[in-house]
Amino acid sequence: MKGSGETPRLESRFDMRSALALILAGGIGSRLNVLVKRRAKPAVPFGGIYRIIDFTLSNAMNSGIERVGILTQYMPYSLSKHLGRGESWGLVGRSREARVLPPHTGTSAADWYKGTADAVYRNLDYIARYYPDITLVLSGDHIYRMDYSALVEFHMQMGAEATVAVKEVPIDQAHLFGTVMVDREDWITGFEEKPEKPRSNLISLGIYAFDTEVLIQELEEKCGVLGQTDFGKDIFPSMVARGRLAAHRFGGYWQDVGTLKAYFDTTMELLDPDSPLDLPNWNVRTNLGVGGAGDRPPAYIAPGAQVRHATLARGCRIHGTVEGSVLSPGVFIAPGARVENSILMHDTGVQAGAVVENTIADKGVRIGHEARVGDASLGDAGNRAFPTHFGQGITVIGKEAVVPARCRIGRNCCIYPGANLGRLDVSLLESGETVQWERRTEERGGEL
Amino acid sequence: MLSRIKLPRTTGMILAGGRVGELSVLTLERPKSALPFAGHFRIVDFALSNMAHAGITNVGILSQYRPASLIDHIGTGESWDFVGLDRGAKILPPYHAAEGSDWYRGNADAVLQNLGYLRGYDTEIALIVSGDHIYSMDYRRLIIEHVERGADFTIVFKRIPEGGRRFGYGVLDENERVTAYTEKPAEPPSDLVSLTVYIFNMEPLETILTEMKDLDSIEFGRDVIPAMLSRYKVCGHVFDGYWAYSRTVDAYYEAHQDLLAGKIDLAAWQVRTNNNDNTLVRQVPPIFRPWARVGNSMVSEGCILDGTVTNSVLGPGVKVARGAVVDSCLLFNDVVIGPDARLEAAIVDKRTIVARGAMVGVTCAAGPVDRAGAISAKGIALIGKNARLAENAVLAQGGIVPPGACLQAGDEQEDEAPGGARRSGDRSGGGRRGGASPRGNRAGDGRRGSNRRGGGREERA
Repeated sequence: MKGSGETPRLESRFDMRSALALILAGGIGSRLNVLVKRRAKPAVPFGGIYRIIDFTLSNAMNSGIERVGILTQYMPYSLSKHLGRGESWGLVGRSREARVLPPHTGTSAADWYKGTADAVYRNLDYIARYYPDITLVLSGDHIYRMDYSALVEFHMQMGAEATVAVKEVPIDQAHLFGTVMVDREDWITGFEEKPEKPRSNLISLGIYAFDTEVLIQELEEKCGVLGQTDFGKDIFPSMVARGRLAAHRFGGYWQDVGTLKAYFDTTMELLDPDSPLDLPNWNVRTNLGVGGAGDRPPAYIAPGAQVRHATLARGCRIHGTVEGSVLSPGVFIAPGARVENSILMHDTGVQAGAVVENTIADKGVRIGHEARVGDASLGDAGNRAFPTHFGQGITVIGKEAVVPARCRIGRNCCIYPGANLGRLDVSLLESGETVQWERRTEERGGEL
Repeated sequence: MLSRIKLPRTTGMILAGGRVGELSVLTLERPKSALPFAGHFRIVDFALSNMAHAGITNVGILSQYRPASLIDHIGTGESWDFVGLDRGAKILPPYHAAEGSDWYRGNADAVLQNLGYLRGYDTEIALIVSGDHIYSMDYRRLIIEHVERGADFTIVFKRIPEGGRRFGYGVLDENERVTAYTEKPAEPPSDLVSLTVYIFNMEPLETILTEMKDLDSIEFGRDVIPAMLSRYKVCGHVFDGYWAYSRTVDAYYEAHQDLLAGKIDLAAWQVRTNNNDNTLVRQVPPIFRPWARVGNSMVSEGCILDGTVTNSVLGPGVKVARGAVVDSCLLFNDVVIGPDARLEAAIVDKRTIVARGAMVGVTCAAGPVDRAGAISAKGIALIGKNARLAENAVLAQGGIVPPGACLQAGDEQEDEAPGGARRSGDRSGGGRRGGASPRGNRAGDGRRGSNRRGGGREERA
């Protein structure tokens, strides 16, 4: 234990309370398909009780940051409800806050954010109000644990105008990301966005530390003139030209879950005791108050149930078999039902005798008795409507969709939120098929 | 429609101060209302949730016995919607008055000393309930009935045949008026047991309590109810829902068996608890490893299970290693069960470690055991907070390990009543005796002992 018996000392360290964090939470994340049909990517549930943005918020909390602005414009309701007053991340108090910053009129003619830099530019008033020494601009899309104070320390040692967190990846994966070229001292010499032939295996993590003064100056110079402005394309090049943009190498766990496969695989890592995605020791916080998760009793496992290699959240009631799966609060598995290698979100129910394999089911999905979802005997054809989204055999069922009793659904299938296959008269869905369905406006609402 | 009826101004009071010897090591450092229940709940959540669902906006919690864990748990009261304009949940501790006043002398004295709290809200009706009971009750309906009858005082009873001597008993006439009441009688006059749910009109409550202010101690059951009977209209309401209490180890344990059997439906009852508790917010959903075999059990956040768990309720952060077998146990927060350990019918308090191969409740103490006077007639073993069972240590059925103690293998040979069930008549000690050295540290492993009576409170009880 630290503290006891030691003489108090002063450390020469930047006090993170003088930093402001802005989280870019506007991402649509369209490759997550039906999971982002009615919510922004940072609001996508992850790991049972969390949402993706919890990781960035918790990093901010664990780094000692006390002021966080969340820039959002796409489907903001589930996100702003999730943030609440920010108390789940210790961001409530006279000098502490978490504030949602939506686009607002009056900044310029058009009102929606046009790019990452533009989103920050439109909130210069907010930054100027506190005028922090350092402004962090963070993507709210990723699963990672980072102590931002290490980034800021490095940034100040380098005397950089801005510093980009980067990570080494195998060179054959670099083409999926924005890559960063550096000189021998880790000053950035260039960027390439998803290059076909990457010249660097360093990727940008979308995590930036800025000297606030430089940030304000740059944004006022560029954003007022240009329409669409992004940091990578419009702000960083002049810093690179001046040789003042540094790269800080991050060696810890960082994962983009922007594709269904990455989302699925990363979730399954939670079950691997050897994975560096070691949530029990990450101190990730979430808002348990939302959706009543916090009001639920502990998970109940009935006599005769089998649960192994799995995690269950509060309020789950398991009578059947659950293996290799991650279940959110309130999931019900009836006697004789079997769930394998699947992600089931809040309050999804699987009735007696049903089998669910290799499936992501969003909140409130109902699977009738004796139904089969992810049925390998229906082939393994890729999804025809979304060939780039699917293809790993995972079937995805949108929020509150209904799979009736004895219905059979193959692999790589996509079912839209709210689709009731019973009413749509679907009793068999071959692998790779999609059931599209749109709710009427008056049926919308509720928490996503 | 009930929702069209506006209640008189009602203020709630929860009697949450008590500790009883019957709970032994479990209440050495917390009042019994703060005992964990069903994993991440605490007993007082039932009374608080009932109050919240009845639309009561102000609740005073009367507590004087080691209230730290209760204060932390209630926090701002937000979890029960007691935050807002004209809302509040307040712990009301004893205070020093100008004339030197002091600790609460009985549960009614606690209310007497806080009459000012009730007056402050222009209270017309005081709803005074125990914080130690497990039930879901519609107080709103009760208050309506109380007012419609023109009662001055309503007591809620439940029919418990052969309830024994622990309770207060009432007698009702055909109009449901209470005609007699006795506390802990040798021969119960009826099967109507008081549940310590009292609805008082403010005026008679003030009158009676003020008249009694010079008594050495004032108890509702012993003093206030009999006095009310002779002068006011006292009615009884017979409750027929589920009810249990945390007064004895066996009752507390049995309530958890009822929980697993579905008799206590926390979801349907909408029991609320404080999720901002620091021990909860850092927990991840429970992880079931490949060797986990779990049946008829409740498993809380932060548990990591790789062994066998049956008929048990596991609090947040419990770890059960591969090869371990846990049957019919209640394990509180952050208990660690080592590989190949075996536990049957035990209650293990927070942060206790049971090392590899240790056995609890599997063996009987030598010779015939008469448990009539024991802490647990059922033979439930009790292991206090921050205790340690060393490798291959053995604790017999009904054995007790005090908080912070360390039980070594072979310890059971040393004592006269070897680490196991107490012999008939041996009720003393409340955790000071048993198989283990109190606050001992025989393992020499540097763990801190638990003697924090000096006022330290770095941990949550």
